[in-house]
Amino acid sequence: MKILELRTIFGIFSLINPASILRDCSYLPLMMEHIRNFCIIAHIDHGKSTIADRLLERTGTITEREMKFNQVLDDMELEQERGITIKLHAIHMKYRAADRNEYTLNLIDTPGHVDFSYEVSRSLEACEGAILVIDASQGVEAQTISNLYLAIEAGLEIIPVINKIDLPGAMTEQVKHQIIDLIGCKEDDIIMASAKMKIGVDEILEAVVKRIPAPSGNPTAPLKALIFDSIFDSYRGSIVYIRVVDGVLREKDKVKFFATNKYFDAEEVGILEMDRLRTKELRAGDVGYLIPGAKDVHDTKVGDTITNANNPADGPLPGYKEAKPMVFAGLYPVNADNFGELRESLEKLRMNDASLIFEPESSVALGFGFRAGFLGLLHMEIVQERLEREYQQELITTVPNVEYRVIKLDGDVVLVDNPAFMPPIGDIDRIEEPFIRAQIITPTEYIGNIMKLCTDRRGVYKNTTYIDPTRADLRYELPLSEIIFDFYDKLKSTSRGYASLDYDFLENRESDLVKLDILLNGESVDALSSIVHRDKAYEWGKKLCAKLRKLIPRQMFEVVIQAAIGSKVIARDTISAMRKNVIAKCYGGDISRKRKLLEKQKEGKKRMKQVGRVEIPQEAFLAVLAMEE
Amino acid sequence: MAGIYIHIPFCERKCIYCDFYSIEDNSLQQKFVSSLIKEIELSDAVWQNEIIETIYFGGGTPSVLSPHKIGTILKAIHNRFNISAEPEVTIEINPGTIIPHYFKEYLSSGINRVSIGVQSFRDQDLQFLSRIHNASEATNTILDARRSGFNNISIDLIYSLPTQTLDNWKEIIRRAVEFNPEHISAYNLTVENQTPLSRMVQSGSVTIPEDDLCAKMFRYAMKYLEECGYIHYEVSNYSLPNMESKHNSNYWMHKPYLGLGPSAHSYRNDLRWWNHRNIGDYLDNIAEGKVPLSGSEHLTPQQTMIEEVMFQLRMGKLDFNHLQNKFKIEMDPSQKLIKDLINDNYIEYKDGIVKLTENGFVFCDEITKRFLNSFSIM
Ligand SMILES: Nc1nc2c(ncn2[C@@H]2O[C@H](COP(=O)(O)OP(=O)(O)OP(=O)(O)O)[C@@H](O)[C@H]2O)c(=O)[nH]1
Ligand code: SF4
Ligand SMILES: [Mg+2]
Repeated sequence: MKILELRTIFGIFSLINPASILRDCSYLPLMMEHIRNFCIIAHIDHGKSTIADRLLERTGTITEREMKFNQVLDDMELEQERGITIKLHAIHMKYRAADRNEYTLNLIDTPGHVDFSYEVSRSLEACEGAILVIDASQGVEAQTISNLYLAIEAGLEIIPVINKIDLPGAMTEQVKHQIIDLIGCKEDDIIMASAKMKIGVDEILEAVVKRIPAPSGNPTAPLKALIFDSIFDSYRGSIVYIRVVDGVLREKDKVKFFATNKYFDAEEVGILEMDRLRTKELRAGDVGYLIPGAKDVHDTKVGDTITNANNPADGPLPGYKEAKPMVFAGLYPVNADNFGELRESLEKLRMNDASLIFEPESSVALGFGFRAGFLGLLHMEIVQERLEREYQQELITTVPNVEYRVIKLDGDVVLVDNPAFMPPIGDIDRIEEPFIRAQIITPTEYIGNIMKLCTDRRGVYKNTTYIDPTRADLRYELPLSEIIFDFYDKLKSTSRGYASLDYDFLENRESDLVKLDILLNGESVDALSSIVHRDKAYEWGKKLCAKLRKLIPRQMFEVVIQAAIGSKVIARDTISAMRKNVIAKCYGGDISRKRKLLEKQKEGKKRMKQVGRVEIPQEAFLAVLAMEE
Repeated sequence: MAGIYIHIPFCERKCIYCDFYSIEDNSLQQKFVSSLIKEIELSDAVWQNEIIETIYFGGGTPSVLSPHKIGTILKAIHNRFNISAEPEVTIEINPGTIIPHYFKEYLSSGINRVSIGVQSFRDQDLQFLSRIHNASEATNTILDARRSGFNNISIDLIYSLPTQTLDNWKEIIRRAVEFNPEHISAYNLTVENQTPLSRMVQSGSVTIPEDDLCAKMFRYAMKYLEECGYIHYEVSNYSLPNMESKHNSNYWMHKPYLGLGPSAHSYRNDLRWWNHRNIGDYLDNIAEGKVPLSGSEHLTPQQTMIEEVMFQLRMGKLDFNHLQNKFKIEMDPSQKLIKDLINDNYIEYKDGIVKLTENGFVFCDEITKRFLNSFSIM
């Protein structure tokens, strides 16, 4: 590619007249002062991805005709289906600003759901500014605040944007005041927008150019590039998304990955447009990709720093804190033979999802599988679905739980992320469970309901502040185990959908916890064990037995379901034996119908696990999730 | 060897539990009969090379057509197909639709077997089922058939009705045997989707007896009929020796059969197809000179195997040597399943042949499922 070589030669002239050269021949800006790296952050559904659509359109990165669906950056099937962003999406745009200069804008759209906040924090590290979007009809919500704080902590310039001002329920003035109180900005700093009606798009772009500082690395220093994301491509191996902080990265450079201490020859380097666009080099301030030719999923790691092996930097960038998994669950292949395949799939998926962790484990009921850690239940659901869709894995998942810290009588400390591995009661001095700090933002009229909910969930009240006279900010400390299942749904239903929740890990605290075992015809099913608070154990055991009675089909013999703490049975239910199983008629159309049923049962059989003589369907292992209050 | 099934889609009144295709409007009868005759003529020529050994008029209620019309249809069948010397020719008839001299006419047109939709000998049951006849009409119809010279009579019964106790059922089945019918079909009431009965069950206005009671009724029928010399040759069918329904048995042996009339199913060489389940579409197609085909399925060897296992077990046995030869399936050499089933008294097993016990019949579907799950070509 001649153009790129020219570019380097003309680098000097560009100081004199950068615009002319940019226009003619380059994908990359010559000077960092014409680069703006920013992300869009907000509470879920406030319109980040739709604003991104407008920016892509306005900058000509994508034509209206190419905009085949809304939220075009949400290119994962699951994202489109669910209408939410799951992963960060980086994209390169060109924008000619009012000052007549052409700017390179590297935009990162981020997810709003609390489970994916790791994607947000990683994005922030690649940016100098953030557009904080607030839905005019919703106002400031929990992740508005938490994501804002993350951005401030990362030292980013914040551009507040009130979106959806077209909505009849828009409370523009009120929301303005909320934002001013929150950020301490001036009213003029806030941009009024409607991504739907294409209002405010130019204002946003101009603000990005004017208010967000250009990147400040040193292009002549040794290479330092931060890996903020990665994907795995079955042909090319791992592809890492990077922000070059210092220096220049060129194809064929010998690069070193600090954390993994691996060396590669940079196979391909480029920028991230709607597709990858090869540019052969990236310089300080740029955002783009590198294909290192690493075929092993262990070679690259998100958060790692890349440097030039022949002219290495002293040390790596600070990188990221590892994501802290909140919930753990077993992932087992339906068919025991597929254990190896499942491992491979998990490893590849981890390339795409830096917050996923897993390690092998085994269960008497389920065979060999993995215990995986997730940031929350939605995250778990997404991982499960991606494994099924993108990697064609058939899975049985177990009931998720938090990680307990068990202090034994001999002083040993064990971390238990699978209830089945809880040490015997006699060896335990005390058990600690994770507590979280919860922030709940709600219209004031629901405060009473929410306090009751939090009390039921063993919450410790801290304090209430007011964002404005109608919106309260409640702070609680809650056991994580009490919020992972249905707390969020309950919170929503008790506040007509208005309350929002954000939380982060606080500390481990001692609680009066017991291990509850489930026995089927006297045999304990390890994958159904759970750890619960003693005060709730009876209620819990009763409900779980009742739920299992519904989920386990009748067998040809009676099945007794028991819930037990140690050897003490605290609840019991029975599934009476099947008394008869034969259809009366089998003529004409009955034949195909009956055959199809048998075919389906054969399929379903694969998803059944056997404990003793009892066949347990897959759903039973998730029984707790489907339990009503 | 092949069979022909003719579906007569008319009934005087729809019964609440029925999901067969039939309509209450009799005005289309004439048109239907002439279309049916056309359908016979339109049928694929391959059927002309088959020797037809059974003919079956089902429905609906074939007896709402005059014996003359039935005779005309039979004649058309004889003209078109190659009928064996002594075919089994059955007609389903319903008490309340028939006058005694019909039987003589049936006989003279070549019908030699009647299947009578008695269902119960208790008025209360018949009313619940919304049948058009009462118990005494049922009795008279059986007697008339016998007096007219039929020596192959089948009686249809339904049990597990909300209106029945176990004793009621015992009484009904004893009454049936008193007529010395050559064949008895005893069906457990099935709540079919989208029938008035299923809506009644859903709304709670009708409660279907517990499986426990149904099983007792089933067991009683098996035991008592066997004592009376009947052979239990299919889940719901019993006959005196050599008097099984040849026509139905052919279905369960994957023999070819041609179904004529709306909703009728046909089968031949792994292919199953079926006619429109709607008389309008049926008549229209035929008027345009088209076969009134609604759908078809081609069975894979595995599907054929599944059906065969299911049929065989419904007929009370499973011939492993045959299955192994025909489908190359692998059986668990430890025979754990067989041992378990013998232990639990569901089957007997000897020389590669499984026979269902009485208890096995009660769990026939479960056993079928287990056998299929244990075969490893699937
Ligand atoms: N009326 C109106 N609706 C909007 C506007 N902007 C976005 N929406 C709608 O709001 C919903 C959420 O928009 P998204 O762009 O997916 O929101 P998001 O913030 O990216 O959501 P997450 O990525 O899941 O956190 C969609 O149904 C959009 O069509 C707007 O300006 N006006
Ligand atoms: S008579 Fe037979 S075919 Fe007709 S509606 Fe009643 S059950 Fe159905
Ligand atoms: Mg989005």
